[in-house]
Amino acid sequence: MNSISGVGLSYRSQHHKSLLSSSTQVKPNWLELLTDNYLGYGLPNQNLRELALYYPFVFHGVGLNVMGSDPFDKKYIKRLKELFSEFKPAWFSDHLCWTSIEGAQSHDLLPFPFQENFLEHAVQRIHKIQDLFQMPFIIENVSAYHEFPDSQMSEVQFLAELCKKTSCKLLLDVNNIFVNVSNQGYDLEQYFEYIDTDMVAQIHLGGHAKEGKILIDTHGSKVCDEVWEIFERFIKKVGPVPACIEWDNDIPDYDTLSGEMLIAASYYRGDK
Amino acid sequence: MSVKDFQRKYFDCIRYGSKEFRVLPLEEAESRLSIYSHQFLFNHYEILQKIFPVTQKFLGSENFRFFCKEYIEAFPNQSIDLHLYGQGFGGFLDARDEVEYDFLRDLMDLEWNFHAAYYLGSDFKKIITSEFPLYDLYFHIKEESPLESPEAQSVMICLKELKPVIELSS
Ligand SMILES: [Fe+2]
Repeated sequence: MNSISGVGLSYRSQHHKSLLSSSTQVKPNWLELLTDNYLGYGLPNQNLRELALYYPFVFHGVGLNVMGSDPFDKKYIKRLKELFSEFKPAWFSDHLCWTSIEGAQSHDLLPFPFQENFLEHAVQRIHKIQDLFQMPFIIENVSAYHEFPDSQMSEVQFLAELCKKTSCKLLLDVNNIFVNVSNQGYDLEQYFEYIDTDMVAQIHLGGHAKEGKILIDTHGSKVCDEVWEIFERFIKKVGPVPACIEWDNDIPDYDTLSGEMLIAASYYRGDK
Repeated sequence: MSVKDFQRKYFDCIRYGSKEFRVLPLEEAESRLSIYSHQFLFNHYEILQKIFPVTQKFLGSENFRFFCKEYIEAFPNQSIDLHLYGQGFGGFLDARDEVEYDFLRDLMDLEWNFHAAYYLGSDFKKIITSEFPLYDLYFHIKEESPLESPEAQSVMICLKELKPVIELSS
């Protein structure tokens, strides 16, 4: 049950019945579950038990505060461990960002300058996560809405160094790359230059919205053509790493997601 | 700048919506930073709206938004779990002279407990503190005709709209 390959889906409870129904034509090979939706002990956990009978899982979170300077939250870690021990995901992931400081939560994925001392900090924190969980942890690149003037390297140089120093693999969000290239004028080619075959464990495919000239990473629409193109180039370069459709806002019906999954599958077959 | 100093300074900037942080492009610094400060406010506001639908009806949307903004700025969530936000919102409003309803504090405690019971399931009892005992939830509605007062009627109508309906067993 633990093989994660091909096209997956980021699970939302609206699609629970479709995922379990025998009449559903298009189904994902695997599911990504949002850890932060299961921090309580209420009804939603029962949904997971039903799904686990049919799908292998990976878990994805927003609360680890990977780049934070507070100690890791013990209660949160404990809950994640409980979830992982029950559902045995192939790996879990969180974002290369910080979310809180001195206990105060932003509930957002906050940016930081790409500097040596932040890289050193990231390395220490990821080592700590690897020690705490003793299971595969992968890190996602986030979208950002501005740059810092004192950055000493590019985002992808930072990611590549981090992977090298920690053996942590990437959850490569190709939409976030596109958003950053567009918002910050980053060089797209640099991503292909620095991201190597063995660095990527999973890919996220999502949509964004446009507000004026800024792209906002809303995960509330279809994957755009440019992002599909980046996806195609990456799987040609790094191989057929598993990818999931990530749609968090204005959640569509299951048929719409099926359409997105079919497009993703066609890229793996090379007939797109 | 150390990681911690940077984070303190940046967090203050988005929490209070200040624009005093050097980011690029410089000519758009204000609008770029406001994406984060709006998101910070919105994420907290959205959960308060979900938890306190009846309170929002009583106060009206504008007033509710105004008090939420003040509460969020003063007390950002201290839990990773956004669903645990807002437990102190009732006490915060209770201390405000502008809020006239005597029963609002009890109503807000009820709404919060209702939300927490659904969300936390069997873990619910762990977060009920002595400050908010379940058996102590009652309304300070006009004594002379409790069930006929407009406030009582409105509370009853609004409570019926609260979903999901759950049973609290001891
Ligand atoms: Fe993502």
